[in-house]
Amino acid sequence: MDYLEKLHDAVLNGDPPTAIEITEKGLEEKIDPHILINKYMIRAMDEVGARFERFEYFIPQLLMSAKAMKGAMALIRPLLISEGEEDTSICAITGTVKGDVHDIGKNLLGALLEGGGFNVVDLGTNVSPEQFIEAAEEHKAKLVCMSALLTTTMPGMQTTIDAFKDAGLRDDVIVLVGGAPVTDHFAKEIGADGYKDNASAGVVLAKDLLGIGKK
Amino acid sequence: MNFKLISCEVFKHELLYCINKTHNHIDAEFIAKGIHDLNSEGMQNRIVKSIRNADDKGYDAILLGYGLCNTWVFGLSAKKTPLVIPRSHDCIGILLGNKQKYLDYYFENPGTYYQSIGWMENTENEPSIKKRSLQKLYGMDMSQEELKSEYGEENLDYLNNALDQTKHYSNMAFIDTGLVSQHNYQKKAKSKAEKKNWSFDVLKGSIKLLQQLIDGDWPESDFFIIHPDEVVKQSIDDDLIQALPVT
Repeated sequence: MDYLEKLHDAVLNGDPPTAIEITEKGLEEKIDPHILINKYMIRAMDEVGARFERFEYFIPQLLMSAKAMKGAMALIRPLLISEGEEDTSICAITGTVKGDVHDIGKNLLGALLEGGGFNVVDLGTNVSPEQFIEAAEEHKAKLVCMSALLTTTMPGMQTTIDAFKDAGLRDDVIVLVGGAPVTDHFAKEIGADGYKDNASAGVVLAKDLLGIGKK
Repeated sequence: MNFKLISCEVFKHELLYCINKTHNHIDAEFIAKGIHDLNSEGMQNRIVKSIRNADDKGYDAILLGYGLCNTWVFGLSAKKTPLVIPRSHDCIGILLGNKQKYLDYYFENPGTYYQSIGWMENTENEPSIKKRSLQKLYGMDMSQEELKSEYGEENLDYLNNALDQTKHYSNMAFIDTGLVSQHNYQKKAKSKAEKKNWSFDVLKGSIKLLQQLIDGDWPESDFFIIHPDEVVKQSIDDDLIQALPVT
């Protein structure tokens, strides 16, 4: 099964056709899909995140790796569902707060969370506190990640956290915040559980706070 | 009064007009808008360089023609001369002359791309800034040709879409600050909006805040004074910024 290492390399190097080809071959040969995900793809995406954090990877490279993993996952996911397996991955909600339509950073975080084995439900941009709460309840999310690119929209993070408190759901979720104007000081002041200045570090923090630990 | 003005060039037309009308003596220095493309530390370092140059020249105050512009202002400290800055999220709030007016329009029209004369005149970055920009650092400055040769034509649409910061924009607002000769800029902005298939709006701007800055008329609700030996901290209320003693 030496060829499976090529799946790791294809994700790491952002090569969607090869990632898909190797996944197809692996599935034909009845390789356990969990092995493909956990042993090869998550390991590759962890490395992509680490390289991005060290400024060794540009955003386009990260996006290509995410595309490779998505392509492979599109083949694997239906199998998991048809086997009637319960999805045991942790659900993470991502979204850009109300009034803000910027999503590059939020999408990078989403890609790396998926790469880290999370089930990501992305609410898109201009997301109201009510939408965050509704999605968190519906998907039994354990992680809520909010993004804002501007100081004008940043207070929406506090409004959303307050809404979770009012709904009695604050203790059910870990809330992470990020985006260009966000600081550690701000995150603490508004009662978020954490902040990081880049997507890769955000995933590591999420895993730490959820007790998943670093792979 | 004798003031040093250190400002983003985005306000150059408006501030020169205000300087002509004031009784104060103003030494004006305009800094490239492109420094917004650096990280906060890089932007602060550039502005601090000018502040320190002016600090022991005996000015009554150093006026800063900037908003929060994300986080550059946090950690800024005054040494000998007080620093004065409008309480505004960014230049758009300053050009509209009122923080609340900006927020009202902003939240009624998410996804608006704002334009003014200063924005339209200063689109090209100096090579020395480009080299150190966040776009460069994250590989977001690649041309179509570079993206194509590096990642293949088949991935071009995917990457362009993912990297497009304005993909969810749907409106352009031109801020008319009432100075003459804005017509051509307005026309250009409108045609840019049409090309993008965005709606187009003209907002009545105001030079009130900029004139107050220059005149030394600094009500606490709109201006923030950083006294010597104070450092700027983020404030999560409507004041936006606060000052604490340097520790």
